[in-house]
Amino acid sequence: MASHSEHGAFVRGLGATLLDADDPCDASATRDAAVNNLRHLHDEAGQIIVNLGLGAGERYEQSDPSATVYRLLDGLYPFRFPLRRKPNGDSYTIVPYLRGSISTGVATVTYIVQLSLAADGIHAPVIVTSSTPSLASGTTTSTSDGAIALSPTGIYLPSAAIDASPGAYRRFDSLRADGSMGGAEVLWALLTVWAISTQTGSKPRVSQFYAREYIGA
Amino acid sequence: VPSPIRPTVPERATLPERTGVESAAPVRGALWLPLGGLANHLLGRGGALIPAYGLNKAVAPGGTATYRFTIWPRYQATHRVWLLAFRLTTGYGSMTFTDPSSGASSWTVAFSASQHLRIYEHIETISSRTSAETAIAPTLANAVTASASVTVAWIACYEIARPELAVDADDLGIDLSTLDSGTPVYDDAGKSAGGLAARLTDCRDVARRNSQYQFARNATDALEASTGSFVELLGHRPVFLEQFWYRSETTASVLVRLYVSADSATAGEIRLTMDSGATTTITVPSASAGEWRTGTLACDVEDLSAADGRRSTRWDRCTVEGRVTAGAGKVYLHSISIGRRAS
Repeated sequence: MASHSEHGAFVRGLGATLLDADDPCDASATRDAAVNNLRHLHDEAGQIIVNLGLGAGERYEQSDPSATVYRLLDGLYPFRFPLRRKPNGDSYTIVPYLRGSISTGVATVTYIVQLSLAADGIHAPVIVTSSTPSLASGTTTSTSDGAIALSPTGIYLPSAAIDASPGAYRRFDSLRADGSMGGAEVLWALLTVWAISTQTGSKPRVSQFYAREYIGA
Repeated sequence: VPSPIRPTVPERATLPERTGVESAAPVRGALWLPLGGLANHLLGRGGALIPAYGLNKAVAPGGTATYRFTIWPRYQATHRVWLLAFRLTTGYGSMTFTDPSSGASSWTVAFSASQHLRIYEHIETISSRTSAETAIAPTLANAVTASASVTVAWIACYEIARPELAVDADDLGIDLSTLDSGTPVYDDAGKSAGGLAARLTDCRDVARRNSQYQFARNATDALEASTGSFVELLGHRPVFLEQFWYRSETTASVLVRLYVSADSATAGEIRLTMDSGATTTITVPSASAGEWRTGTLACDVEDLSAADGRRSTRWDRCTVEGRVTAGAGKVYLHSISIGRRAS
């Protein structure tokens, strides 16, 4: 399943004068196009969450690597954002792209990209299995910067995990239609990059991190 | 459950069924009501104005940093949430953030051995709502009394969702009560089937107001080029992947906005080149004191048949380069703002 719209793309030609007072609103082609286009817009409503890198020769690095527990990289702190949900209740899929290396020596660095609810706090992941769709992992042994092959290629939060978390939704002040102050419910999520090195002298590095919401997969 | 009297913004979309659109099938509220709810959702859910971007630049005690962005706001948004990640390794700083609406928040950032992770939130009440492309310049200042420089690790900004929209020419809300079963079908702004149909293009225009990429530095940390040959300015090549809109398209044009400056009697160029082949070159005027320059650039669009949405299994990355074309000084790149698709 990658598209909710019948035609998988926009139907052109729907202008602001469509269905004016004298037009037949039961024309099936008109209704088909309206349904198709709004469903397609929903498919394409994903946001770019992170598109991050630094200047020439700069990188994020772990100052205190561990061979036993996953840790954050200095400055690459968890990214908070309003996560969107699909009609079936699952979150949109987050597709990450990561580039990294080790600082020196011979070691294997394993990276994990974790999607979690902000209400659940920050906690280092333990293991990636097929039953944890919110984690993706990949490794490098190179001292040269390169793309990390992450598996799976997309991560998400299942509907049950969201609904089971008290406080998953955060209420932000925002205006109502009449101009009075109301509250908008926002699913507040975290995207976190973790790393672990088999040799603590070989520090994990990240030069680039990108993540976007995607309806597919 | 949608409000019977106001155009509520559902947190989660309900997709209207296509079973109501066969020829000769009657017009039913069961079709039009979810359509109106989905339109309100698309119009009022907010979204990313500034995807998190990396800085890792310090603000010294007594120093102020200005970050310039071009944004494509939704008129519907009344508030924004700014997220700022700070880091320091010793001492303390006192950071004050001033948003584009002149609202300010201050935080004390202190080092402790067990906690040097500092992420702060600032809610901006937007003082001047607009749907026009806008240049903004929030600032961060470290107090004179601080004992250490504070490193700004990254910055992000989101427009906050609305619980409801007004039925007017700015908020563009759909009055759901006029789409329910048994209600008359007519054409009026934001009402009934005709009003909803007129909103379809508005929904599309609002949906593309996210940014692909933002990168902004204080003037003292601007990227610079000093030679006649193009040199790569960024240490990374940002990924651009645009929304897929029309059948058969494989690329789409996105808006490019660069904030540039140049030394006295010096001019230059900034060139952006995608892995997919498209390129655009933007002129840095001679002796520019600092200004926004504009252009467009084609990049890949999503492939909805692919598990990760990439087209041809490629990450379409952008190489940013600069060079001097006249004079003996340098040209500077302060900010890069890449919008959603141009058309």
